[in-house]
Amino acid sequence: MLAKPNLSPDFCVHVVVSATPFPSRYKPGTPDTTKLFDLGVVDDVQRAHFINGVKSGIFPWLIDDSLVASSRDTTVQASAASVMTNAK
Amino acid sequence: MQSKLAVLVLSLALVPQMGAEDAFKLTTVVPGRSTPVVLYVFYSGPLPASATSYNLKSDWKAEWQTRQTVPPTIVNIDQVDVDAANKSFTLHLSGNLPKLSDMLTVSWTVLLLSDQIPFTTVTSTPAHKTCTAYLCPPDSTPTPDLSFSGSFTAAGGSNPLYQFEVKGGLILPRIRGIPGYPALNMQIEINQNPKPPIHRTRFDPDSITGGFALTKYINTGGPLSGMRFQAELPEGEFSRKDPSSNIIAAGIATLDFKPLLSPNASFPLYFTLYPFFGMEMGRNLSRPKVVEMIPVDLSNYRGIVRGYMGADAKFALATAERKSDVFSITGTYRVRIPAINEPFLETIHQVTTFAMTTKARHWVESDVAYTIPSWKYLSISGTYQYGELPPFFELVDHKFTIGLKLQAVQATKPAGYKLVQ
Repeated sequence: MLAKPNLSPDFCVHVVVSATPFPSRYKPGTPDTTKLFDLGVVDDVQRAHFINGVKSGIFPWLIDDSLVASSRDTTVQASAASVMTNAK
Repeated sequence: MQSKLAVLVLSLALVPQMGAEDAFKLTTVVPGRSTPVVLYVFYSGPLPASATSYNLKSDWKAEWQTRQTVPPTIVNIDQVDVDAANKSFTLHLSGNLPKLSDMLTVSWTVLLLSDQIPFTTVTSTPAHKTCTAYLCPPDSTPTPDLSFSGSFTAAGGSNPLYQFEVKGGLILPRIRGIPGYPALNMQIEINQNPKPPIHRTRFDPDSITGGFALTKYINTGGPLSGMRFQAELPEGEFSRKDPSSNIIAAGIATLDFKPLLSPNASFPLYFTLYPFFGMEMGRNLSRPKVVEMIPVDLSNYRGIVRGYMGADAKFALATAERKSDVFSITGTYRVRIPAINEPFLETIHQVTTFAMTTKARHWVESDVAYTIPSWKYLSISGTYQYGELPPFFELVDHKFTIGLKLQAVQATKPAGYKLVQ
């Protein structure tokens, strides 16, 4: 059985950024200003893949799709905080 | 004139540019899930120049309470760690703490009271949606889940001509044991072909498709964000113009390419392309004997097997806050290639011909839209359509429509899932 990773800001920001289409566009130190749109989450299709990526990234933690802050105007920080708060 | 209009639209969209960087403030507090007990506190804006304004544990206060009416319980802060890369503090706690299992269910308030920076505080609050209705205005999901668009034509010596298009895709709750999300989808085209003068105002559905679908997303890699698999369980294709109707099941795979994004963050342009391919199979349920006053023999028209492919593309400019699109151009292409002869009705220069053929049936639709920022339920749009839609594949011949579109998104569906493209 996999050990559950610690849901720290560092881990969750990394998971959120990695789940976007363009993680290389993210500049460290900008989670409060970088929006998911700027990393490629521009529409519902990309959003669905983003949520899938987040769910895979935090496994064996689980999270309901609707509780991942993932609208394209959401900041990386807000999305990471939603993962930290709602993962079970 | 058109280029001036485009420049004006782009200029209006870019007026509220990215503002100056916000001042330092605490934004979110999230309790840790394990021991030793910690609170993670996110902040925004630049860290104060002096480290002593935020890393002294005596400047921090943290308290928790179960209900607003109960006095809060103050806890000790033993250590403060700063993670500048992720803009967060970690507060190590001790003292009168709630049970570990209750860390997330109680409300936490954190204060930073330094004499070197303005007072800042943050409270953990449960997540909430800005719109709690079943249908909400399109906001951060620019493509509506339900749209109703129409136009009205008046001409001398003719009754009014109304033309409508309804598109919908409503996601249902997940069913245990079934992969993907179930959904109901529909597309209705009404009065697409009549031209003035007409002598009787009526609503004549040219094409109605509706049915039940299962959608599953998977992540891949490389140039793709992932793939989408959609099983459309038997759905109906109907037309009221004649008694023709089909029942069809389809399997579709879509390649979801990563979007092209403007490298300039202050100019949020993007382009998406989603090609798909699949098959449709089914059978004809009812056949007319006369179509457009032409006697037809459709006795051999029973089985239906078609290759089905196409693509959806979108080029759009987002607002400065990225919530919605100010201006967009979307393109849809569909081609159905029958393996077995199917009816094909063509009217060119007012001469209608009918054939049973495996000729490919194309459908092209392009929309240009400008959304009114103050009331996003409404957008001004121009639409171009050309091609043939099931069940009878009657030609819609280069049709242009300029009109208003009422649109909404379904607030209760799982995030990100969408049937209407």
